[in-house]
Parts: sequence; structure tokens; C-alpha cells
Amino acid sequence: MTRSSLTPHELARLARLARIGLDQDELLTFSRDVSEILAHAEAMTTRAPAAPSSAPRTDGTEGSTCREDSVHAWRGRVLDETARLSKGHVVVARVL
Amino acid sequence: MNDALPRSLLEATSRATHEGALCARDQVREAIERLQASAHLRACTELLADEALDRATEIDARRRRGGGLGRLAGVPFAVKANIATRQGHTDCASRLLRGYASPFDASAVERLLAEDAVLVAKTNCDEFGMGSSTERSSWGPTLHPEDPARVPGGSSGGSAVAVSSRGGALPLALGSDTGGSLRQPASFCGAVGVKATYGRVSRWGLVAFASSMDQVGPLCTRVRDAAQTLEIIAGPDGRDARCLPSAPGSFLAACERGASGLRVGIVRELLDSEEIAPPARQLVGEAALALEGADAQVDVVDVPAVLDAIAIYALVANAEASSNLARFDGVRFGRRSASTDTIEELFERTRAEGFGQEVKRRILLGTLALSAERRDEWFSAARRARARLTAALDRALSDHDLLLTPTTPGEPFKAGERLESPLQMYRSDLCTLPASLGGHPALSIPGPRTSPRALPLGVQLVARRGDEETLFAAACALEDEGFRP
Repeated sequence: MTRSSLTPHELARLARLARIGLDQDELLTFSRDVSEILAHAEAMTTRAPAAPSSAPRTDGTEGSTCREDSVHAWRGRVLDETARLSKGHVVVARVL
Repeated sequence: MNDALPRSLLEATSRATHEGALCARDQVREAIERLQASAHLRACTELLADEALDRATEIDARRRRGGGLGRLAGVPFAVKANIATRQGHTDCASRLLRGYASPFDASAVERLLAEDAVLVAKTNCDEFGMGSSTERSSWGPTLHPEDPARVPGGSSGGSAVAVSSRGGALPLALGSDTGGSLRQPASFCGAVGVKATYGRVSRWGLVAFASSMDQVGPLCTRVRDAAQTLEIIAGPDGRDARCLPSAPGSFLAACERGASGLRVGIVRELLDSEEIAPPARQLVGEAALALEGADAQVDVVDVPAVLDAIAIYALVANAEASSNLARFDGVRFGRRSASTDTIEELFERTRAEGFGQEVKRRILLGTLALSAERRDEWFSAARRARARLTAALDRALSDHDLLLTPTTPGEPFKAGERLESPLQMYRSDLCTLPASLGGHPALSIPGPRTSPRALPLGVQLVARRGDEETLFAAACALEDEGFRP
């Protein structure tokens, strides 16, 4: 198993995240296709230089920094909040 | 292309309307008849005959009253199904948006209508612009105008067929380009396709696919027509935050500058790659000779980073797509799955039933690239590689005015041939992806046929960001040197 391999089980989890219902055939086909694309991309990722641990903003805002992981954490919170509220249709429609 | 054709079809059409030599209504009616006669190609998702004829009649009446007419008076044009128009539907060739009517016109459409062009049709495309063959449309595939067993390219395949060099029904169509969707079908159909600098044309009204690359642009039969159209649709627009604030130069005037003294670099990796077929390689050589004939200096430049473009694009574009397409949930736009018990079920079923296979595949890949566990490994690495590719293109363009490459690795491929392998499909955009990722302006111009039965093929010119003038100067010089189908 390489890092570009994607099992149907993992793909099913992604499909739930993406809110797309997939049948068994689609799971198998898509896991093969996505794995093929990731395998092609592996060489590119090894050539890409490592990122600095804390990337400063490049918009010229003096003194401010915006770490990618903090943006990611913020996005995660929004998604969590969306899921928590998902029983209310109206609320979800607004949040999304 | 017929040598007797004027250098600008738009200018000829508009002048005829201005002078009353031909009425707009007749020109529009003939265009609609040509589209109807080629309906089997499935270039259009919808003809807007009644609205177009009414609009043309109004233009003719205004001329008779002595009222002012726009620069494109009476020019019939079509718009890709993922660009918003108040007339007709904006369904992105997706089941999910079937029947969706936009309440507004896209900025680019607004600007063409303000010049008295007449919208006659919406054109077919790969669903949400995701594809390179216009086979991934819920309306069915668009066929190549010269060989129905082959694809017209994509995703703006319907627009390209509508303006194709042999049998094209219209002088102008709008399309969109994320990874090559204007240039690649232009090459396959013998048309001119232009993707301007990122931000040059407002994306207002373009249904978002990958927001850091999406661009609206023209497909035309002649270079000067593309220059004039881009001149009209480009420019600042407060409704698109990434739209460039500076006014564009005169692209039409640049067409008369010639190519003398321009330094042109042929990108070695996009010529030597084993994926580039001999006809594409040969055409680049012919373009180089024609540019030298116009007193440009041509040499070869190394940009090895371009070979990473497919991998970068697959991760970055699809990550953006997975985010952009989250809005299609059955609540606000388009179709809604019937008989669901919970909101989660509504989302899942609506999207499962509405999206086609390619869209689902891309959303899944994008979701993976952005997932907490895999983000650094894939998405962040792809972003860094994109920065490296952009810097490499900038370096190559620091001592060259233009880069020259094939537009496509080869001639139009057979229908169905690449549907089973998404990676193979991505490979048909090998040459167009670098300029998309770097935000550079790029243009595809069709070359002469190598034999009477040869299919169309184009070469691509890439310029520095913000320098569309040089792009049009060189492309017009090529066209004037006889480099045309």
C-alpha cells in the first residue's frame, strides 16, 4: 500500500464528507481512478520544496501572520458547526 | 479558411448593419438557420431564435431612426452553458441545474449586448466545465464538425464547433477556460481561442469551477475578432474581487504592430515530450518559420516545471471545485431529490442524482486533497509546486516576449477513447495547463492543414501577465503570414 492508494472504505468516508451518495460500483471505479491520479502526482509532491512551518502573509500587512493551519482549523470549525446544526434545514441553508 | 474571408468577420458584419447594407434581422436569421442545419453536432443546448430576432429587429429600427449603434451591431453570438444569461437557461450542461434560469447576465455578456451583439444560443460543454472533450454533458456529447467519430475538445466544445473554421455557424462565441477549455477546443476545431491574464475579464456570472484559474474568453474564426471581443469584455468590474483594476490596452490596435523584433521561445519540454505527436511538433516548427518570416527571433527555452502541470492542476483545481460545488445541495439551486427524510439525505441524494461521473470524481479527489489528514501531503505540496511553475514561466518570459508550444499534444482524439481513464483525459491539456496555473495570457491559433483530409490543429502563444497586446501582435502576424487553416 502506497500513500497514493485509496481504498473503497476511505473513499466512502470522503463521499460522506462531500455529501455524495455512491453505489458499490462507483466506489470501486472512483477509488481506482483517484489512486491513479495520486500516483501520477507523487513525483510532483517530492519535487515541491518543503513549506516553512509558519508561513507569513504576503499581503504586506505588517506584523500580521496567517498560518495555513489556523485557516484550516477555522474551516474545520465551520464544518463542524454546520454538521452540528444540520437538523435544522433553514440554519444549514444559511450556514452553507 | 477561405482566403476571401475578411480579416475581421465582426467588423464586416457590424459595418453591414451600420450602413444598412444588410439588416441585422437577416444576419441573425441566417445564423440561426445555420445552427439548425448543424443541430446533429449538438453544439447548442438551446436556440434563442425568437428573442434574437426581436432584438435584431429592434437594432434595425434604431438604425432607421438614426439612433446610435454599438461596435458589434447585429453580430450573432452564442454563450457557453456555464455563463449566466437572462435569456435561456444556465444549466452548466448538468442534470442538477436543468431548467435553471439566471436572473442576471454575466459581466462579459452584458458588455457584448451593450455593443448590440445578438445572443442566439447557449452552447454545450462538459458538465460544469470539467472535461476536455464535451462528452461529459447531460445533453449528450458534441461531435467534431469535420469527423463525427472524434471529439471537438472541451470543455467549451459547443462554442468551438459554433465558430469552427469549416462550417461554423457564427463569428463569435463565449466560453470559459480553467485548464485550457477555450484553447484546446479551438485547436481541435480550427478556431482562435484566447484566455486572457487571470483577472482581465470579470468572472461575474461564470459558474465557479476553480476560482483561481477560471476565465471567460472568446472563440472566433479570426484573430482580430478575438482581439476586438476581448477588448470589449475585458476591464475592471467591482462585482469580481479578483478583476484587475487597470483598464486593458487596445488589443485591436496591437494586431497591426507586427512581430518584428519579438523574442519567441519554444518550450523544449512541450516539444520533446513523447506525448507530443508528430503533427503537433511539425506545426510548431511551421509557426516558428512564419514568425521568423515576420522578423521575430525564435529560439528554444527550457521550462522543465511544465511537466508537473497535470498533477498540480488535478489537485488544486479539484480542491477548489469540491468547495465551489458545495453550494449545489438541492436547497437553493436546480433540482431537488424527492422523498427524502433528513436534510443530510436530501444533500446526498440530490448530488448523487444530479452530478455526472466526472464531477463526482473531481469532488472526491478535491475533498481528499483538502481533508485534514491529507492536506499537507497533497494540496499544500501542489500549491508550492504551482508557485515554482509560475516562477519558472516568469523566468522564461523575462528574456522572451512570448513562449510557443503546441496547443494540444495531437489531433482530435476518437470519441469515447479517453472516457475510461481520467488521467488520459487530463493529458490532453498538457500544453494549456501551465498558463492557466500561472495566470498568463495565452492564445491558440489554428495552423495550415498538412493535407486536405487532415483535421485542424493549433499552436499556442503565451505572454507575460498583462501583455495581451504582444499576444495579438504575434498572432495577427502569424495569420497575415498565411498561418491559418
